Amino acid sequence: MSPIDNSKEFSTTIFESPKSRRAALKSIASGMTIAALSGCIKIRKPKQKIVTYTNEPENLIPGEPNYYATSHEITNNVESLIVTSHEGRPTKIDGNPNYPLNKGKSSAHIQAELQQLYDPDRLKENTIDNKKVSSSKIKSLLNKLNRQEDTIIVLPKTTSILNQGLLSQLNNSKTHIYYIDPVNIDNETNSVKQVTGSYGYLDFDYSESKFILNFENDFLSTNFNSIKSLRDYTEFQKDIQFISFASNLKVTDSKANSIFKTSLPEQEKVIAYIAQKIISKFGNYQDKSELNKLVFEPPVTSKDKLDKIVNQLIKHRSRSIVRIGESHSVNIHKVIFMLNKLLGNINNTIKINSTAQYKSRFLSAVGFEESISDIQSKLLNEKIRRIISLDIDLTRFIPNIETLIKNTDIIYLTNYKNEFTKLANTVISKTHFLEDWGLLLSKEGHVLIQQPLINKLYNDNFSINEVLLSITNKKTTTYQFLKQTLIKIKRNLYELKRNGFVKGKTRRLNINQIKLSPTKENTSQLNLTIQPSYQMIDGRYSNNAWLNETPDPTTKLTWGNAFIISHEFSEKHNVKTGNIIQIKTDKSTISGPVLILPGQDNSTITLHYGFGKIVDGRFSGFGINADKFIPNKAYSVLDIVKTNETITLADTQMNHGMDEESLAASGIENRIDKILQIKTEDEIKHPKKKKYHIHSLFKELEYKGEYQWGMSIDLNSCLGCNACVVSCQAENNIPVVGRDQIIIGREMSWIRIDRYYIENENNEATINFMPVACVHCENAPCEQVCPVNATVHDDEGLNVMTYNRCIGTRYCANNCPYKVRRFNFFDWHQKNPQSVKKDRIHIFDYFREPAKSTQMQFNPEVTIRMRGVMEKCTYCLQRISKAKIKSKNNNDPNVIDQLETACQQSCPTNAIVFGDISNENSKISKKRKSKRRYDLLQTDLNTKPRTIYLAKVKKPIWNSKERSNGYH
Amino acid sequence: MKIKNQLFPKWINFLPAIVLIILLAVLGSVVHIFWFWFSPKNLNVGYQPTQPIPFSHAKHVNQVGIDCRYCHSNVDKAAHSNIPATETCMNCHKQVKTDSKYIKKLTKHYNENKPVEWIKVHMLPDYVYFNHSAHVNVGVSCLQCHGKVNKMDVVYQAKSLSMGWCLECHREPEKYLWPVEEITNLDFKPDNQLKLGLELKEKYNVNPGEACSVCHR
Repeated sequence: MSPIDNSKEFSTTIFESPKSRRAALKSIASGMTIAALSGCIKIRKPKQKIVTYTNEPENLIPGEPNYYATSHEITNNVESLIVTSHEGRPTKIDGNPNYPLNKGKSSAHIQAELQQLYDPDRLKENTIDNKKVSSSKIKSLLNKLNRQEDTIIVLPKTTSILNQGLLSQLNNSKTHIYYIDPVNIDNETNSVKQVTGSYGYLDFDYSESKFILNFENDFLSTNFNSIKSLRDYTEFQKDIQFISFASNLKVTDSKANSIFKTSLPEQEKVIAYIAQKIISKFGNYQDKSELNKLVFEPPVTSKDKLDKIVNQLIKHRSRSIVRIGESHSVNIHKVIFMLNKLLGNINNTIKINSTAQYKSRFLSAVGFEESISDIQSKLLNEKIRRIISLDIDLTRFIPNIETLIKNTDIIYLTNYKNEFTKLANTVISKTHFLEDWGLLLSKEGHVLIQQPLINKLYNDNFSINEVLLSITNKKTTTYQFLKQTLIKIKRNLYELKRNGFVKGKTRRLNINQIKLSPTKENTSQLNLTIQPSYQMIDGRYSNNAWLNETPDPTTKLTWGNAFIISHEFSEKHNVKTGNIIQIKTDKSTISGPVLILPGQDNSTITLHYGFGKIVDGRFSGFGINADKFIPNKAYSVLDIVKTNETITLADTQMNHGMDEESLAASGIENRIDKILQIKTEDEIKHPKKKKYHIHSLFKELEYKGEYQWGMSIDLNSCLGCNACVVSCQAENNIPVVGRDQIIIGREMSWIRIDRYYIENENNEATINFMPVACVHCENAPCEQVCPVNATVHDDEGLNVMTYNRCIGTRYCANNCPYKVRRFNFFDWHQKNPQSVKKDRIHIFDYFREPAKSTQMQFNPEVTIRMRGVMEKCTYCLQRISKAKIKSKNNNDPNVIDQLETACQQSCPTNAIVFGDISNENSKISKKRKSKRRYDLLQTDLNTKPRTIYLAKVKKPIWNSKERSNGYH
Repeated sequence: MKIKNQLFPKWINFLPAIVLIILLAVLGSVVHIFWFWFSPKNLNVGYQPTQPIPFSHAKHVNQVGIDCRYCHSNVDKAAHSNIPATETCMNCHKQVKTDSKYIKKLTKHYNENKPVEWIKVHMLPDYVYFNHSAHVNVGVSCLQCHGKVNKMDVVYQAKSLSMGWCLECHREPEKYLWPVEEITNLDFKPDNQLKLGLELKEKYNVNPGEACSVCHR
């Protein structure tokens, strides 16, 4: 099996840029021939058929979507979801508005699960010894497995009640079950276990919090944190002072009022220093003696500032939060628990709740690293007869596994071909979660139902439940087993189907005595830190085109990752962005391109985990593969070798700049104050009013429609999480373009999230996010230059794009000051490597089309754009039209109030608000009256944008002049 | 006097005129081809495909007296006006005319759970998002777009369904509006359409709009 060559796939289309002049002439000539031929025959559209139901399903109106509740677990969180289904095809996944944790909001990962479902690269059939076999054969094989032989079962951590119920039946002395999740919060979980005696999770109450001190924790990213915690933080952030110690700028640091650029070892010293001060004040004899086990040098960070932080912590006792990231050891986690306990935060701002469990064996199971070393030693020393892997590619985590498993029977359930399928005797293809029943238990105690939305796309696929049912010799289907389980746990199936979930309760845990173990400081001078990727998490989305093309919020890289280094480091080693370096660490050697970013600690190199070739799919394989390392860990760097190679990184930040001289990147500096406004509270309360004398030379349009649409984007709430970007992509059928096209600035995403590094008054680099989509100017510059009236205004204030009129001059995109217009340089759906040859039924047919499964994913309410036309944000016109018609048909104005655009619907922090600005009582009208409001570039260009921005709020916390009431 | 070795024959004198006439003819035919021949009025109107089962609207509407909405039941609820499920036909045809060749075919489809593949008559381009419910609920009769279906034995396309044709009504809806109760009564004839239309336009709050965003997304 050879890895599939992308470039070959591309070159089979005639839309590939011609290699020579001769080839170009050829394609022009053939095009003209086809055009000429088409005039000779009578043109009738091809016959279309209407295929009706034999018996009409209940509650189904053809053309109208239905909505079903289901649920899904991603990393630590179980989310209840509502899936939009068009005649049985799931086309959009969103949160469940009634579910207390997400309240209808979602993340980029939830949105992108659609792409996982319809991925044509998914494994379709089962094989035994590379021979295709039917699903009944697999079933009988699983039925006959001898359970008295030594077996290792590996699977991801799962809260599935069905899985856990079945696994507990497999439990005997010969069966060893391991939970493999490289991206995890084992350190936090273990420390909670050690300080409270049972398994629990931390629940933060930001409503009462005044001061947050954070060490390397990315608690505002959607990777590991529930959508609720993001929403809660932004809701109550007004009174919160937030100081962050970070080795590199993460999403969370965009909200920090002060950021200390510190390496991990330095952070430990700072923690020890602060702990010393707090414990000497509040701690008892025992705490002091425990703390003495930490042997750390004093930190190099300014003592003055650290003392101020200590004073703040003391001042805001029981109103503060100290948080710590996974990169720190369990011991340091326990120090933080000690701090929070002494400061009285536990049970006030920090609640430790017990994790809900129903036979949840993974809770008591060992962590990721111990599991791996356990498996390794078992394979080495004991006679393991069989490995049953349920969607875990062990070759990623155990080096040279092929030498260890020579006589072992391997049964592998997987979505994709990968390295482990080559070693496995039996390969079973896996379903997507939208294809089978399930029952999940969130850590908060809610029971959620997983309803299938679609029949199995490939009939031979198995779900984890089905495999376990076969192994345990149950003759039932998953649905029957689900019903039996529900009777056992006394839950009503119909209630679950209707609501999606049943609420649960958890217990509060209390901290016992905290015992530390002796720790010495880490003396390494230069660290390579592996962090989970914002898109790939642990590589599970490796073949997901949407997530591959979604820029990382901080690095803005698409299709891959890079070693993030600081400016100082780059000068010291004489490397530039794109240069390929080789890093030798204590564990392994790794090479790849570097990326220089502000805010990066000088002695830390950061690499995102989950990239590189992980599965055998056409989108997997971009970036540096960090599988030799464990995420959330630091490795000391022994040597760095600079190679002569250089590659261009697919960085989107500079692709659509709003600078005045857009060719020169320097232009942005003059304008940044107008583009992204960051104001202190004083500035917001007492705005400096300036008069601008601008008026249009053109006759301004009047808008007389019944509704006037407008949007507001709150930059203070935006966390750059990309949920809106992927949601928009799913809703509006936006294609992906691939790495090479991104490099030449041709990405199609309608929303881009700009990232700006801005120096604050303490000379710290801060990271700021700004989502920009079409702002629907009332005086739109694009409309004035279109030669064919393809972009015009409607009477409701929408700047509409008529694809059929567009001839592709791209004048509008050039004249757009916001750079939000996207041009279809190719028919991207045809250029996509997953596209297939089309059956010709008509002379005008194109040559390729999206794969059959991908076609099922498209939203039928939105036109698929073809080559040569411009497109851009439409404010989700299909949703507006639907709401308007529904409101008029039912005579119900509430429909308009409930109207949400796709980006707004998914935004976890409600940063995006959309609605009718002519209605004084609408949410959007209230936002427009905000004192933080500013109209992007209005003072320069008089464009009168309908999308307004609300300025980000800054709180200078070291400068005593700014605030008279504190910080001394 | 006859000049010897004339380079060109005499008729050449008429050449400019001939060329002009030919050019005009070519131009005329090009205009004709594009204006008339390529126009939806020529290409689309009268399209009458043969259906797998020759269902006669005339018979069902005029003789039996079935309302349009008995079969096209979602026309006032959804964007699509549904073609009925085979089940709907079988409501009657389990008893009626069961010995007919075509009803036997229909029954076979029904019993084998195999859908009847009807041929689509009225086709709009994919970038047009026509909504039946938005029109039917404000008094645009079936007749305005589909013609006198109650007189058709085999359904054909009666109107061009071109954008210009749509706009005729979007600009002056009063010329076409009927009371909502009468929209499926295809033989309805108002005494004074304009007066009725203006009244109804007020009553139903009809302001269709001509912006691109009304129909295209």
